[in-house]
Order: sequence, then C-alpha cells, then structure tokens
Amino acid sequence: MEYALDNLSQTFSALADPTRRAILQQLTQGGASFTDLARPHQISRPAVVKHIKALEKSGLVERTGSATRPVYQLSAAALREPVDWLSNYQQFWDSSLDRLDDYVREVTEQKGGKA
Amino acid sequence: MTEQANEVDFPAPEQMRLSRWFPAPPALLWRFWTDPDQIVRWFGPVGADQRKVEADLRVGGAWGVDFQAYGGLRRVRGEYLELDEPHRLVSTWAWLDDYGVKGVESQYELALTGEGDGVRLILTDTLPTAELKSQHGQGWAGSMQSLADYVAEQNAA
Repeated sequence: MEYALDNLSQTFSALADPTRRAILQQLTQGGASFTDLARPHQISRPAVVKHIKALEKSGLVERTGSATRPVYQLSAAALREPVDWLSNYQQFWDSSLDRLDDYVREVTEQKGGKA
Repeated sequence: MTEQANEVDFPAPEQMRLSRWFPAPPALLWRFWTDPDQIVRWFGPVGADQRKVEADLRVGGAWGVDFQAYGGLRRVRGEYLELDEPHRLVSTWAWLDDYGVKGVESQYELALTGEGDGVRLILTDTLPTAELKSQHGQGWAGSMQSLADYVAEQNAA
C-alpha cells in the first residue's frame, strides 16, 4: 500500500491536462503517428509537440519507429502506478464502507425495531 | 437486504470521491467514524483484522489505526485538520512503513449530509500534489476508466 509518491505526482501532473489525457485515450487504441495524434485537436502542431514531449518525459508515452517516422505508444507500466493508487484506495474504502454499512444496519435495526 | 454499492468518481486527477447513503442520522455516522471503540468495527481493506485504534478528536489531534492485512502489520496515521460535528471532517492520511517512517501525506474529507431517512456520506481522497489542486479536469472519470481498462488488458496479455 506504499507508493513512490514523487513519481506518482509527476505522473499525475502529466495526466492533469485534458489534451494530454485525450492523447493517452487515442493511444489506448494502439500506436499512432504524430499526424494521427494531432488530427483531432484544435490546437497548433507545436502545442501538440509540447504535450507529447511532456507525456514522453513522464514515461507515460514511449517513442518507437524511426527518427523521421516516430510511432507513439502508451506505457502500461507507467500507467499502472496511478491506476493502482486509485484502485487500492477504492478497494480500501469499499471494504470499510461495506462493513460500516453492516454495522449501522445492525445497530439501527436493534434500536428502531424497523424489521 | 441488497448491499448498496458506493458511487465513485474523480472530480480532479488527484482526487477520488466515494458517495454512499446510510440508514442512520448524521450524528450516528459521526460517532462511528470518530470513536475508537466504533472504528475498530469497520476500518480497513478486505481481510483486515486485529485492529487497534487511537484518536484524539480535536483539531491538531492525532489518530492512528494498526491492523493486520495482506500478511502483515499495516499502520496508518493522521491528524485532524477540521472538525465540524456532525457534518464535516478533514484529516491527513499517511502509511507508516516497516520501520515506522511516515510516508507522504494525503488528505481526506468526510462530508455527512442528511438525505431522506438517512445520511449521505461523501469521502474525498486527495493526493499531495499542490500544483494540481487548481486544475479540475473535465472528463477525468472516463479517461481514468479507459486507462485502467488498458492496464488490465496489458496485464491479461
């Protein structure tokens, strides 16, 4: 349940921008060229380049292919950390609140005689 | 009686929010949430056992829960930052490692609001990324879900 939060906060910084999240979502469909990634966005090409560089720096996106025709891909390993953080906390609270709910019902049914 | 599931969403990239309705007044939920003798009944992940709870319920007061889970001793510590009985509680949250060293602190907020014959509990967990707090990501929940699905697919492959 303990995480390297320095890395994690860097990852979340990269994830904080809606354009970058949209790019990541595009990449869940598979590797893509720069042109493919830039097409749906209403922003300049240099702006798209900046976002892709930020994603590369965070490790969320990896560049493969040749220097002239790069292909961008999602890194499942880098995504695992934020996804795990959220799912662990969700699991922790789901379980706690389920127990709390059972306990509340036990107590209120005894007292209130609603049953 | 059917179990009522938690509703979960992500109001911002570093936040997770759970919402659930309980058939009890806010004051009862407040007591169950803050009284060590009640906390031992419910706190912890699946399989949590042998809980020990201490809580100094005042602003600046410390609380802690030790329990057995995942095959070992787990310890979480926090400090109450805001207490508005029985409606709102804000606290820090940090795990201790095996050597008793405190990890990075996150924060949670508990909100209890009367709803129908019971109370709506809303719990918001916030990661300690100060620079993110002003940015409220639109469509975050959908992105997070598709990214989580992607990781699950990659794990399965």
